[in-house]
Amino acid sequence: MLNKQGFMELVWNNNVGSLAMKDEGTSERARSNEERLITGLKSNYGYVDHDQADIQFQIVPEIQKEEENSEKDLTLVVPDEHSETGDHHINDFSDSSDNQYYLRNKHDKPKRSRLEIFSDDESEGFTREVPTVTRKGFKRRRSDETVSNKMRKLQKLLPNCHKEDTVSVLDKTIEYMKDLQLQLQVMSIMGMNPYITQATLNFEMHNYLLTVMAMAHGINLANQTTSSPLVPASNWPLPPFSNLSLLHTSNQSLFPTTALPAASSHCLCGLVPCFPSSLDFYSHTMGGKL
Amino acid sequence: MSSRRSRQSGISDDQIANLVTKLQHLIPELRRRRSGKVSASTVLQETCNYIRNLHREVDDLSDRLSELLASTDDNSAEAAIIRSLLN
Repeated sequence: MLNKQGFMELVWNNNVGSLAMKDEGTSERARSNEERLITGLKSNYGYVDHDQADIQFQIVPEIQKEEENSEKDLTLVVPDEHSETGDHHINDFSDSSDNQYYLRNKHDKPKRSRLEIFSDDESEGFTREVPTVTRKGFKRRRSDETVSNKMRKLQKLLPNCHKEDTVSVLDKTIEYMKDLQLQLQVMSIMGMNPYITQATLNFEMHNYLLTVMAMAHGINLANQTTSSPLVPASNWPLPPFSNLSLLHTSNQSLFPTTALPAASSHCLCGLVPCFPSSLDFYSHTMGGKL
Repeated sequence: MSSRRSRQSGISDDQIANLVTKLQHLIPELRRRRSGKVSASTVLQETCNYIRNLHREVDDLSDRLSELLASTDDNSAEAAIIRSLLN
């Protein structure tokens, strides 16, 4: 299901990309309810421009719907994007006129005249007056909506993302993607050959792996949150390691600045049951390096 | 040139554009398309797709690792690591 959605969204994206580049008309951001209302009214009264053949809205219905429904209902732009599939329930009026215009990319000429979708050069004039909406302005507003939709989608994908502003969502996305890529790397290495792990762990990899493990547990490295996911580590069989209790208890002092939860060192101890000599290695390195 | 509104919100367009560019570099599919004309909506869309793909891969790998775990002896180091990765 994921694949199918991904595929369909990809198709959609290729089409919609051209929307972002319209130069004339309003700015990218929908400014106010009033503007949304105006937009809606215009489509209500059949303003929908018939040259919108080069807008393609092959929207994945179910995904798009969740997003669009969360917007204000004044946004009558929404039904345009759904009506192809016939599952709009918001307004039916736009159906007949718009259905024929949901062509798939036939006349698509991406007019990428601008890179910055968020720039607001013409915004001032258009927020004040009732916009004499050109076709391109209309498209721009729609693409504006779709950008915020995508931001919302992204937010849903991100773990623990509670802020809504663009910059922090983007920031978190970047971090999260890096984390995920890292995690996948480590997991694939381990998956390929589990016998790698012991050797690599004992030496340089432990830092790396700890970071990844922390991430795998969804621990935000910026907060020293609970170490409960790693608590099971303390239950691991550690018969030869009673002398490590010193390490366990003094973790806080050993790692004053580390962002990793204290229990992560429990993991470490559990990871090298067969190398008592490397325990000394660890006690040195953990004090000094981590 | 930032509009009044973006100045009010304190977020500059450049900042956002920078972030979008950084994001673009992280996405392998878009990294090649350095035409300098990739729209933000494209980037965002591709990001969503990519993150979903990554999630799927993580799930797949987790499955594989758990199978691997089942086949190794319980007290070994790698079993412990795998368990910690999977929990």
